[in-house]
Amino acid sequence: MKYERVTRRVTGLKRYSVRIVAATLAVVVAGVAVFNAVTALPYKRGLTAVALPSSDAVFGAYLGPAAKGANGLLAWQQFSLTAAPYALDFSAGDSWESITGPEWMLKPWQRSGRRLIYSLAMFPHQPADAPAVSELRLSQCATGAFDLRWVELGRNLMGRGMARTILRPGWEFDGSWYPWAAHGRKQNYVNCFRRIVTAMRSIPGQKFQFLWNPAGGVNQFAAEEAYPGDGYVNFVGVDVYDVSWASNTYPVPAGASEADRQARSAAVWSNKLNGKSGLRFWSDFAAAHGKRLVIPEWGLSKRLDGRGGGDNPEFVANMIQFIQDPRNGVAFALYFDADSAHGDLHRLSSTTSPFPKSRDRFRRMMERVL
Amino acid sequence: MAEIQVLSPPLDVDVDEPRSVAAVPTDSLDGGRLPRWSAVLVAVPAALLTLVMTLLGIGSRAMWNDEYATWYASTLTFSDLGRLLQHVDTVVAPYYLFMHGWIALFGDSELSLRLPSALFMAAAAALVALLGRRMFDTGSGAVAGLLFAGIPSVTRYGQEARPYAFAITFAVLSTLLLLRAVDRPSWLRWIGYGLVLVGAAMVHIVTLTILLAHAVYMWRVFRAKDDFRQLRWIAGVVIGITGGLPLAAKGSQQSGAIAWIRADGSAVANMPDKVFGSWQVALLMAGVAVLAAAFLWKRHRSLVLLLLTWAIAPPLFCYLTFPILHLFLHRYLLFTLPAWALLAGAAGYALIRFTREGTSIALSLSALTVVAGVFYVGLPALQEARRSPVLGEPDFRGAAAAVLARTHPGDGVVYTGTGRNGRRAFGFEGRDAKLPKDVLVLKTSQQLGGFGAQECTEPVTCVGETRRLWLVSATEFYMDPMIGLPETTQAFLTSAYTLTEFKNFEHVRVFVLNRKDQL
Repeated sequence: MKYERVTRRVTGLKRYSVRIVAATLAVVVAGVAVFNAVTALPYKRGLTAVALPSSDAVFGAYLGPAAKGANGLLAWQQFSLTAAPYALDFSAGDSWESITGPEWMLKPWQRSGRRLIYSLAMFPHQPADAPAVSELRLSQCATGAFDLRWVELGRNLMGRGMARTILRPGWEFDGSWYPWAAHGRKQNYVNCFRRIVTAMRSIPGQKFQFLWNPAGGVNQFAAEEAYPGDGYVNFVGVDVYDVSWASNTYPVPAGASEADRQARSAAVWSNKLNGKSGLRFWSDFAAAHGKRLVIPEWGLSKRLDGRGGGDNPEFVANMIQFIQDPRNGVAFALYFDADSAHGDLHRLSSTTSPFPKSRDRFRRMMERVL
Repeated sequence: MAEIQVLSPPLDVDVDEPRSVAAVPTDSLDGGRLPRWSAVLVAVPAALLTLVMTLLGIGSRAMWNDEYATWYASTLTFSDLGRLLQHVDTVVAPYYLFMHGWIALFGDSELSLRLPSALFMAAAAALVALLGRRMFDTGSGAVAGLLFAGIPSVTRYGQEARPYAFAITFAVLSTLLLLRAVDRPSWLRWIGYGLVLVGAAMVHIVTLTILLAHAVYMWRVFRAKDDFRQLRWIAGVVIGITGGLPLAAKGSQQSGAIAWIRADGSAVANMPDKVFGSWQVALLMAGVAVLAAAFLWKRHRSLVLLLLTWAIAPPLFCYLTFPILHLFLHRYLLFTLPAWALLAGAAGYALIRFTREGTSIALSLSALTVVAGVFYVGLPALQEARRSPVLGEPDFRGAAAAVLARTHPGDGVVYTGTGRNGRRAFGFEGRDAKLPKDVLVLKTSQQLGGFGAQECTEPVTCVGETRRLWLVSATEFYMDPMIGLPETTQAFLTSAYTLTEFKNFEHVRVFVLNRKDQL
């Protein structure tokens, strides 16, 4: 009897001790979870939003080569209501003399006091060059055959007090239209870019910066595969024109309603912004590499083949908004305010611009841009 | 025995098991009942944890639109408040009146404005624990109270100068009083129940949809008991509905204020996430609750039905009546959260009761693992609940600080925006400072008896010679900052002023406009 009572008591205790251990464990687990949560709460200042940095994007334009461009920028400043501290120009590609910075090219920019973005042909070329010639030249550049030319260019720039020039070697390499097109020879392109950077940086006192500039959009290959590396690049650039070859976009059919035109324009913009190799992609790419995004060329377009958006104020508004959005980290953006030789019109500031509505819109928006 | 039971049913009776207390030992390690004072032990941890959750950071988060409205309405003179309530927000009138007195006593800091909500939320947690103890056992009550405290929405609306915490408290209290009155259906108890329903209706009319759950429970009670005194419930309901009717009637004339609420597919799909403040917590708690409900179904069907209808009927009601009432909004349905917490809190108890007679606190407390889970999966949402500004809302506090830091006498301010307008917010943020003159105002919101002011249509005369204007534009960074202003005002400002500076904040920007002719 007594024995039974004792066993009952023992098993009872056993039963309770299991329960008590279980309960204690549950209390501890819950306690730890609650403690962890409470101590992780941002109670002191809340998850306070940091004020967005206001955009420091600088607007500017390209109005033509050398003296023409330098003079044009004065009028552009009046038109755009902003100062234009940057200037864009292109090396002629016919000879090494043209590439390495001839006096006629550099002097107007030196006198303008603006910071030049010098689009640098990777080697001299002629329109009639066979593809094999370009291929050979690019490989020569990649192996350092032209290093002295780059040093010469650097010295020319330094000699004119233009040590802060931004160089734009082999721009739009992801397209097919320049002889340094990198498709199928990405490594040569990358190596050539690196040789240029290394050679020019070898000059004492230089402050050159280098702009790696895909054309953007869907081109021959994914341009980011030809990125020379963070050590060789200061800016990531992308060029944006209101052109489209996608179906149901441009050309806007004759007699189309305004609503239809706007819908097509919106579709094109959506692709420019979010599409493959679009603005968002490059903005993210630049941020991921710790670089600022720049837009060395942007523009409206009226083309003989109709693939331009024409007078499209929405494109202008969208671009200004993108450039102004601090999250996109745009350092500068230059409107291509000149017509190209083969009937592709971009002129905006001129009173005879083929885009009067866009011109008005640009002015109105710039009145509110700082 | 039967006679006595009719007169004075046992305390913890569930109508499915009229003899449950006698037959089933509950609430203890060894089968004996815990003393009454143990109720305190159940209620205190829940209330304390809720206080910790709601008081941490209560003043850090910037106010947002609705809270600014609370401040505005509660600091009006009574005649202005009367004019306002004739046009809008009558259903919130008792809360505004309460806050009027509160502000008179404790001031209008963020902390003071939100403190009543925190206190009511803690009271709600305590009541949830007591209700759980009454429904199931002490362990279940303790767990339910802690679960409630861990819901991100409880933090959020316990730190919000709006009446939703009050509504939750009244909903839980009314249910607790319902069970007490069913136990001993005296007139006094039913009238007390009715008065709490009046309170629920006063703080938020939608809270009265809890009567759907009460009705289901009472239907079970009527079936199980031949006691006509239970019909006194109807008297309580009549008191509650009559008390709330004037507000509801007036409020229905002002439905324009809630015309923006939607009840489309995404509103329905997002409802659990919004009510709980975290879809992870919603999923976990609802999952455990449904499991517990299934295990409890056999022995506690009435309570399970009460809790399930409490949890589900109000949103369903609001959804079905949406074309007429426009009340399908997560904030209005927060009072359903205790039902989920109670069911989920009873998970441990349910498992035991499913397998055997009897239970014990220790085993019921095993559901504390659910509490751990809620705090674990809910942590990001608990942090997010303290986000400042509220996600998607303009950072008016930051914008106002930027303006106040640099404004000079003689400056003017212009407010515009697409969804929100900074006027009321700046009124709060600049309540102890000198705001620039609101140049466009023709008639103030006080004069109009609304939340918005009437702006003048002839900006040339209104703005006059103001040399510098601050444009507070609650627009996205990519929009034209003057969107929302009449064309004439836009044209005037663009022609007479130059934009010289601006600063971006979340969903709001501040622009400095300088008069052109002074250049």
